[in-house]
This record gives sequence, structure tokens and C-alpha cells, in this order.
Amino acid sequence: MSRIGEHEKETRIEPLEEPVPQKEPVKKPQKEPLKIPEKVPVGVPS
Amino acid sequence: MNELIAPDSITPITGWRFWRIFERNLQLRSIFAPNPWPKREKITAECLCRGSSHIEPPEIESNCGVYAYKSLHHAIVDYTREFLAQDPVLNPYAGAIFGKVKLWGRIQHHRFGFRARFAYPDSFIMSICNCCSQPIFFLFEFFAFRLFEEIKILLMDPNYPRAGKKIVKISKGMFFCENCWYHLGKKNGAGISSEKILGIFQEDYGVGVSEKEVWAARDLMIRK
Repeated sequence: MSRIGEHEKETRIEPLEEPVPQKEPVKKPQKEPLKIPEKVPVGVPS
Repeated sequence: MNELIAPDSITPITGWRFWRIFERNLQLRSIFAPNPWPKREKITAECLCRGSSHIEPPEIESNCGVYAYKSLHHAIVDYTREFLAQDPVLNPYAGAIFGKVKLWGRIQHHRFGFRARFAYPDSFIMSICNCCSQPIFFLFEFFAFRLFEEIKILLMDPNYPRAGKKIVKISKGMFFCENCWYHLGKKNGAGISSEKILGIFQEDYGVGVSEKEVWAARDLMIRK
């Protein structure tokens, strides 16, 4: 305690947001883009 | 019915303090206590008082809490006192890193500093050379960093010396200024460059170097 001297007072501080950096978000695996099937033309003889 | 007590403030207090770096994962630790500072999580003060356990440290009549100086000036005064009083190798701040810290929760205000319940580093300013104890200002001066393995013999249980001893290998981080590195440090192997070590701190702790604070510290120390 000698490094910071004698006691003076006590306070309470409650920040709305704690000043701590966010943990890095977990990277989600990229989804492959949906493949849209080609439309079959109507009336084409099988 | 529980009485709701409004806090005195919602703005964290800024303090200044020193840390040590330990282990290969380059974790910050307090100078005078073994408490590690978690990465991207607040540190919570623990009660270290023998014979009692305070529920919510720091108490007024105790030494508990996360310590910080009230101002850059007070931190520099304490560092300078240690620098002038002792052999550079015995300086408790030799090899330390210095910067700003945010404090909140229950806080005990002292004449030159604070003891807080919660804290997290805010920015880094400088380190202290392990050999000559001179300050090394980040962004402006070269420095090298190395991990040295230190073997310590510790008691298994500090409260019961007869419980036996254990040998612990600790990797301790050391900073070298340019002069000491080329004369002493470099002979013992490679070190980590200043850019890399600061980059690691930015990534792990999310904390960088404040150029404004480095200038302020440099000006203050030159005047002293």
C-alpha cells in the first residue's frame, strides 16, 4: 500500500459496458451457394 | 426488501501500471503478485489476506485489489525512485511493460493510486530494459524480447512448509533496449522483434500502443 499512499475514499463504478475487447467470433463455415436447376421448357417432346 | 444503491459513476477510472510477461503464451501478470491477467476477459481482484476471506475485495483495511497509479506522473516517480535506489538488475520494474488500465467495480482511492475490483489493460506505452532498467518507448525505439526459463523451487502449500517443495519451470519475458541487446542479449540467441511482440498483444489482448501517451511519458521522463 505504501506505493500508492494512504487511503482517501471508496467509490463504486458500474459501467454500462465493460471496457473489455470482444472475444473473436467463431468463424462459421461458408455454405456453398444453392444451385438452381435449369428449367425444362414446356411442350418439348420427350 | 433489498435496497438498491446507485453507483458513484458509470465511467471506468483510468490508471497507470506495470506488468510482467510470462510463459510462451505471453500472458501479462502483476509485478508483485502471481495473478495472471486473462486475455479478453476482465481481471477480478482476489482476497490475498491471510486468516480472512473478504467477500468483495478490495476492502478498506486490506492490501487486496488490482493496483494502479493515479497518474502518469505518480507512476514515473515510483519507477524513478526504484531506478535510482537500486542496482538495475534488482529493480522490480526491470523487464516490465508499462501502460494504461481501466478500473471499475469497488474502488479504494489512495493518495497516489487505486485498488480496484475489476480491471483491463487500455494501452501500452513502454517497457523497461532488463539489463540497464532504462525505459524503452514503444513506436520510437527498438527493442528485443526474449523468453528465459527460470527454475523456481516453491512450497507445495505455503501455509504448511512441511508439505514439501516442488520445482517449477517458468518462462519469463525480458525486454532489451537496443544497446543492451547488441552487447548482451544477442549473444544468447534470437529474440522476438518489437513489431511482432506488439502485434501479438494487439491480437491476444486487443490492446495496442497509444502514441499520444508514449509522447507524454517520454516528455515527462526527459524532464526528470
